[in-house]
Amino acid sequence: MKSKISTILFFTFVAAMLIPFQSVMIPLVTVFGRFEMLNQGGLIFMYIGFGASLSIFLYHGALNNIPKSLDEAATIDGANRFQVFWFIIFPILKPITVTVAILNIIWIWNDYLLPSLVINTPGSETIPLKMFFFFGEYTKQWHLAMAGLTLAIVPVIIFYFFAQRSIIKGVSDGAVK
Amino acid sequence: MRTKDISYWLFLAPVLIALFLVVVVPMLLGVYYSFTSWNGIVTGDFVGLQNYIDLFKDERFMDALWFTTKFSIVSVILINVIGLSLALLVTSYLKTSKLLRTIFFMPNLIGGLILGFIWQFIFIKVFASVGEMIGMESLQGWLSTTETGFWGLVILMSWQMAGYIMVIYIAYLEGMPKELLEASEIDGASTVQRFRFIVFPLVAPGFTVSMFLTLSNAFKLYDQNLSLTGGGPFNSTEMVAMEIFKTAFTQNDFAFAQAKAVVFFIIVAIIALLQVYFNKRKEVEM
Amino acid sequence: MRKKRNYKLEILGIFLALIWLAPFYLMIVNSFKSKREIFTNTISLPESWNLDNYIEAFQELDFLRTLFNSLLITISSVVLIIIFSAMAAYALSA
Repeated sequence: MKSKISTILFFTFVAAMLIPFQSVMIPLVTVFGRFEMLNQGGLIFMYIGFGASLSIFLYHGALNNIPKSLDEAATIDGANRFQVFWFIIFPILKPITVTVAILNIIWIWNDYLLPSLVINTPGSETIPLKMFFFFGEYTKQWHLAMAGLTLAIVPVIIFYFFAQRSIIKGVSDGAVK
Repeated sequence: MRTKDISYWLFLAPVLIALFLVVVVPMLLGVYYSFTSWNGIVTGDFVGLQNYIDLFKDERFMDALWFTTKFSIVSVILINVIGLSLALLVTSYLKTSKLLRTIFFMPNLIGGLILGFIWQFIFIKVFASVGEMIGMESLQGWLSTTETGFWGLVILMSWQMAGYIMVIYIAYLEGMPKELLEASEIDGASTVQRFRFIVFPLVAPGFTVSMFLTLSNAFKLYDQNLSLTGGGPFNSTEMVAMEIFKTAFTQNDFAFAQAKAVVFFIIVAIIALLQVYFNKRKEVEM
Repeated sequence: MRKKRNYKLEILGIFLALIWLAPFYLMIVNSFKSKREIFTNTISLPESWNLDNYIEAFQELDFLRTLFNSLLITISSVVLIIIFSAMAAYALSA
């Protein structure tokens, strides 16, 4: 039996998916700026906030297919909550974990706008942030730009080469569910 | 796990805190700020609906909204037509079927920013040099007019997203019983008939998913817009997301930008809720 | 009837795949050209496959460090998202 609180919380996470980044971007940067959190640590924390909704939604769907008796049996054997989760539930969730991982990797790896607002210190830029180097306002160094873009794409192609099947499956599952 | 147990809340705490600080608080603050003359440092006076009234009179914002709408409609249609065609192609018996899927899907893994830069090179340099070679004037000066900028964005977006939509349609097409198609072939059904009576009903549920997915992606487009045209020439290819960004961080008009951001949220939420509505209705019908 | 291959479709597929790959082809061939060569010619193969552009771009991008930053942000965020979301979903569904 699901509790009312769980239903409300789940609905809140799903509803948060409707909010486009631009709608929270300005206050987010102002608030985090005031607490000196515009750095790599702050960025990771923000990704958890923005990424949690879809991930919880996908996990929630997968958990509905796991029999409750499994969980109860382990509890009777004296395992605590975290042990039940970590040693019994989490391993069963592996297929959906692959999907969650792939969707989040593609999004975070390529994300430009959020890091552009959060990362200000030279030396801590991610790949997308550095791409502007070749595309200045007035001078374009096409020959360097093409080499730079190729370098930036190489890691993605390597990833695609090794995880092709899971990637296509993950993206399709994530969209259809 | 019961809600009064402490472990229930311990399990939820990390994501609840993150969601609260990163999404909920900024969203509520943002709605509040949109009714003030906030400039990023001082909250300023409460101005009621003034920002919202101004926003409808702001030509640049309304132009961006109109440009975004046009762009979204054209890309949704093109992406879905191309995506479905590619899906039908790669689900036929082809030796290269697997390889083709891999190739068509590839652009989706690469960030919009990088893809936009590659296409900027193609439209500006490659188009010009090909145009010179074959003597076609119309290939010169791409991205320097509103029209070529618009089609540049459409081409980029279609090339990138068609493979994504293809993957979704494939998921529906592969649920199709092979015997059915073979039987229809033996019965002498024409290609058109097969598509109309067998393929179409199967992929129909995929339409809703794909249409709304492309619509919301097109409407929220930012990276590709930034790297391909940068909004130029003269802000004429600026889309809503970029207009909001510039109002906030170039003009430092935070409260006004936030009011635009709230309107943007309402439009995106309506698109998403319509999708939920159509999905629910379909489930009832089935 | 079974496994009948359609060669027209096969050729169409390969043709479309080449179009899909064209942007990557153009990016790669031009990444080996000099500034002057790009000015005169954008679609043919480069006169020579020299790596000067790559060496310079690699340094300008501070590539290894930038790559490390991207890996650090992506891996940490994704690992934390996975653990925390799975825990939360488990709590919400039990």
